[in-house]
Amino acid sequence: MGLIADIVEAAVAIGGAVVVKVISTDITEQTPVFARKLITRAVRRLPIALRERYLEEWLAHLDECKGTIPKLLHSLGCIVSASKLASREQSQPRIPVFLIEPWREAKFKIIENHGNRFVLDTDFHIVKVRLPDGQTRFASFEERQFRRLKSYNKSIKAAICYPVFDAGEDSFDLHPLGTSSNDAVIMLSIHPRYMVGSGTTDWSGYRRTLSQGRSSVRNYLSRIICTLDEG
Amino acid sequence: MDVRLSAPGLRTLRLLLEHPLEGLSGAQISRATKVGSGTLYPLLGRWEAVGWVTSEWENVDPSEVGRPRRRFYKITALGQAKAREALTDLQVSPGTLAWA
Repeated sequence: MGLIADIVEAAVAIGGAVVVKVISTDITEQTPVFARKLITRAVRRLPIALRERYLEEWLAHLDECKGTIPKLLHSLGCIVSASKLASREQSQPRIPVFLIEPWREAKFKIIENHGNRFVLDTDFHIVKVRLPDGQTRFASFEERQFRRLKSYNKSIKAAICYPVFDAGEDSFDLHPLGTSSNDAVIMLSIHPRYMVGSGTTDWSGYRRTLSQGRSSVRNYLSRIICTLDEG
Repeated sequence: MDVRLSAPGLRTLRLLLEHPLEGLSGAQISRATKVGSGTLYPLLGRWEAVGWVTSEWENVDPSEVGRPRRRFYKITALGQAKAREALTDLQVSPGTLAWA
């Protein structure tokens, strides 16, 4: 009897060890996947302007974490970070634009900052934006984005505005800022934001103002400028 | 802009101050200071907004190295001045902080 009991005990121990091993292997293998999912979800809490940057940065950090627990802790930390960063962004003062002038029309390729890169070939319209403090910024907005926003919400009269800092002949950085309210006043942050894309320009429309460009763009800009003038 | 500095913030600043020329990734900073991601990235983001640190992407192609690029943080001259000021206020030299 004693021998049988020993054998059963040993079998249970071996079986238990195997089950634990299988479970732990499973956890070890699944943790990076789970952590990536958590980070991806965390990034969705961030303003659009910050998503690309932090997704790549946090995934790179995850890559450097050794072990299951550090990976999990990092991904949970990203959720906390995302909440903090998002609430700080929302509380930042934004300054209404004084004047928007048509400036350039450019065909522009964005290379998104993903691990999986892709190229978005699109038309950007560059406008010069004068801030209340007299500073000038260049901004661009993408017509397709405007149309898409408008299809979701008919009351939107302005597109997301992408101010362009250090606009040069060959390359520039894009910094998404924010949407306008439905009374068509674009709110613009004074701080340069994070780069979300880079690329090269084909200044085929150099010195061509938007009044000679597409009518929807012209109308859109006219509305904003009129509204601001009235304001 | 007034930036409040907590203990994790001071630990992070001290580390950046000790490595003014080399960029440190978030993971490196986190490992060295034991500051978790949930605290570290909002701190770095805030400091970047006020010009205490700058950051730049690692100069590699993700498709070539098979992983996402790291972002490296470096303390600016303004950040160094502020860090020294904060550490002096605590009456400790940058190299001799003893955090519990």
